[in-house]
Amino acid sequence: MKRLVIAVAVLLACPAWAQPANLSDAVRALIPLAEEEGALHVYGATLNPRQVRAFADSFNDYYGIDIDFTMSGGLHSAKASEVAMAHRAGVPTGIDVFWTGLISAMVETGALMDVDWAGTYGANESLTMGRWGLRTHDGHQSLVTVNTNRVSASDAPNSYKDLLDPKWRGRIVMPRSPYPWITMSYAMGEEETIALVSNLVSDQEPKMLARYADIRARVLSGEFPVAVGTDIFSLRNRGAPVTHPDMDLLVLASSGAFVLAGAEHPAAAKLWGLWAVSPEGQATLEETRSYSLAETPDTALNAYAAGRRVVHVPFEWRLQHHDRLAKTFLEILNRAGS
Amino acid sequence: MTRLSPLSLIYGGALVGLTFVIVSLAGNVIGSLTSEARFDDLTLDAYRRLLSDPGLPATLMRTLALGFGSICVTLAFALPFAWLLARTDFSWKTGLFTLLAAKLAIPGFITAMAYVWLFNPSAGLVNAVLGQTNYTGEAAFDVYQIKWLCLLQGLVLVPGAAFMLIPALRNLDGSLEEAARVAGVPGWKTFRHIVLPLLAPGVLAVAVFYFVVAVEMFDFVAIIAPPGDVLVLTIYEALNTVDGLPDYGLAGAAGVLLFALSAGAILFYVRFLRQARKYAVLGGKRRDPGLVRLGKWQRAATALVVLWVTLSVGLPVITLLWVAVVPFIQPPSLAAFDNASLYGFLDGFSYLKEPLTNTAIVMAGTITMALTFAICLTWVVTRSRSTIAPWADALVFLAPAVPAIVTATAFQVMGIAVYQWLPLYGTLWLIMAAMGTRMLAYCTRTMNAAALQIHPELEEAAWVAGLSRWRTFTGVFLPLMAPAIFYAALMVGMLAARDLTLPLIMNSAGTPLVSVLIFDLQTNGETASAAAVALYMIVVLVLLALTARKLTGVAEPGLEK
Repeated sequence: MKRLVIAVAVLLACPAWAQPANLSDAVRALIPLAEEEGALHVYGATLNPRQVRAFADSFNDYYGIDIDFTMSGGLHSAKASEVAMAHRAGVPTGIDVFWTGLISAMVETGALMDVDWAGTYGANESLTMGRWGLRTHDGHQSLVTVNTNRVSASDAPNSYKDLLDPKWRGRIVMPRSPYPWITMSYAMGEEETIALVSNLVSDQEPKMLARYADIRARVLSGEFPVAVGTDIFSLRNRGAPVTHPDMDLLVLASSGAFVLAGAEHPAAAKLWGLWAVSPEGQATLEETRSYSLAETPDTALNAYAAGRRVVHVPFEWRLQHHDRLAKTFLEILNRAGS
Repeated sequence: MTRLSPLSLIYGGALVGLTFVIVSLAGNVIGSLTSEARFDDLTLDAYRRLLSDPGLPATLMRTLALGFGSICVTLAFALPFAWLLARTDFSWKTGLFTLLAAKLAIPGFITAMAYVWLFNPSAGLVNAVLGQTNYTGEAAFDVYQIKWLCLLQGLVLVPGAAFMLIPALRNLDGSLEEAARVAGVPGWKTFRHIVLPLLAPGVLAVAVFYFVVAVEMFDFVAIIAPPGDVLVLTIYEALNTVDGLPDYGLAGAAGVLLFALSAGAILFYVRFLRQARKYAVLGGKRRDPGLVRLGKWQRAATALVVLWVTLSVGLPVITLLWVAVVPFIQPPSLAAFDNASLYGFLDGFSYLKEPLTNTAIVMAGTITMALTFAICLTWVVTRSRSTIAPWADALVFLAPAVPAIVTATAFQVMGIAVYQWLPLYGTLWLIMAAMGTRMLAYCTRTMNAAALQIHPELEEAAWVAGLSRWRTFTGVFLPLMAPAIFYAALMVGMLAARDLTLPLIMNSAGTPLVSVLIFDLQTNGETASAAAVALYMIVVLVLLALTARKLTGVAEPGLEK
């Protein structure tokens, strides 16, 4: 009797029967292959072990499988370059999915696998990134943050031009990176963005820091009342005195799942991409990192985007213009303090 | 089959160590000649871009100022501390040793963060208490200055420099000081005219080595971010590109410029080594130097230690404790105490097991590699009389000038290139090799200075007595080098545990290390857990250091009993 009870309990708890009913045949065909592969490594976000476990549990539960799931993160451009070199030399990297928005180094060497996410696996056409990736969440590299202890709602900037108000002189912290301004160029126009950044650097004496975590720390501590280039959705949930003010524009540049051409676990890698855009995957991304697609309901980004002018920077445009604009904006940023 | 002579093992070890150094240096030089990261199309374009930058002279001047300033601060503390530990009856030796070890385990960004909170011009606590922030007029203190950067970097480098100097101080022949004492020469004059000149190779090695390290350090530059660029920022930006390939060319060219800045000092040091025998004081008739009684100077010594401890250990540890109990980074306030909890400690502890095990493996592997190569290199450099030995030593000396991120890339490229024959790419072994190479210079600096003080007459006597050169090496040379080996191992272990850049770049297999865990937690905004893990790490490393010192018996004189 005891064994029967245990067996029933295991059956009820076992996720294998909990697969979503709407999976296409092509996706279902990947599941046994992925189980045979037995493991999956995703390179991308920096997550703590608890968050990695949450990803692993949700992913495995979604397909009713039990795959050894690992993740790592770091400097994406350096890793992309290394992956490209390894691919050229035919050396396995141990990475199956590169979860990023920055892929040009790997495109040039053919290190990414072509995946027909929409045609073969039924993903929404609007989620595809070139012929390689699947858009999993929307990045917002030019978000403005204010410390609510230092800035009242009525005083907070409502547009990027408001950042040029003399009252913010010496009060803004922002990245040394040109990244926020590249995507802004698409939304605001190149000339207008160049003028904005030039004026910011020359008139507003912003504090420019190399690392995003440091920018977040400075606006959190109240040392700088205004920050550009970092999001605080999850910190706000913990009661931190920071918010994103009511800006007139939200610029989004997507990140996605890219399966590597030399992936040792390609079936599991594809399943992971498809899981990430599913409601269950989006819920996990939102819960762990406040990552989501802007169109996913009940997420912090979705709420912030509501009623606002939202501009998605096309993936192809980024591939085409990044290098040139990066040089332009770096030159402007480097004028500070020289 | 030809049997290898034991001595060839030493030369072999030195050769492998040197090869790793050359991989790192060549990675930098070849990188500087690339464009768009293409290694088949070498060009001088990166040098043209770097040298045509109108801001370069100012950047170089700031970099030099940073290097010299940091060294001055470091030596101002490290030299007296090493002397206190090695040559005096200072009452708080164990405490000082423990705190020096603890400092090695404190992440650099925490020290920088603590100072930003206290002395930033907008809302720094000290400025706020004084009522002088730049909201109210002129701030009393402004931490965002190059002089503060020198102070902070200088304070952080003190433990390593002190540990480097201790072996050299312990090997001094006491008969020279005794003769001076008998002749009525005052203590400070003896120190200035006898002790310091005899320590010259050791002090010079420390100064040159830490100059190279100080201009390559990134943590403090990133957080303090003084006005204007320094070379390490140019390198960081070149490698941390928005998209596309990192600009290895520009980073490499800037790295070569760092070599050039360091080269003058290193050449001077190489010339110094040529007169090595002048500094050999540990001969067959050596007298134990004995301990200097501090007497009334005990208080002054204690005050100096307290000053350094407060600035260098106290403030960062208090900062860590504070960050570990509040839900997000915020300056101390009564309101913030309401939200304080031990969640960070519990959460951090739940993550520790696997990263701690992996970190212990990396520490052990890195110590083994770095020490093996360093002992072999030191023997070759100081004993072989080969004309190329000093130049090999100079090459090793240059290794720390290669930015960590470039070293990581060079080893990854090597790992990929030799994968067919030696599948190290993607494993912890390659990380250990890269770490060991970066720390080789530290080990050889510490050991060379000690080896130079051991007069070759000791080994010559052993040969005359019929001992083989191998037995002389293991039975005479190594035991006399034990203190230097211990302190080199201590430093390598601590730095290996703390190093972030190499594991972050090279670890594709997802093998978690404690340093990467701290980085991940911090990047995620989970600062409480990150700070708690850092505190656990400090406790573990300090306990390890104390245990190692007890087990090896390499305590400072006056503590053995």
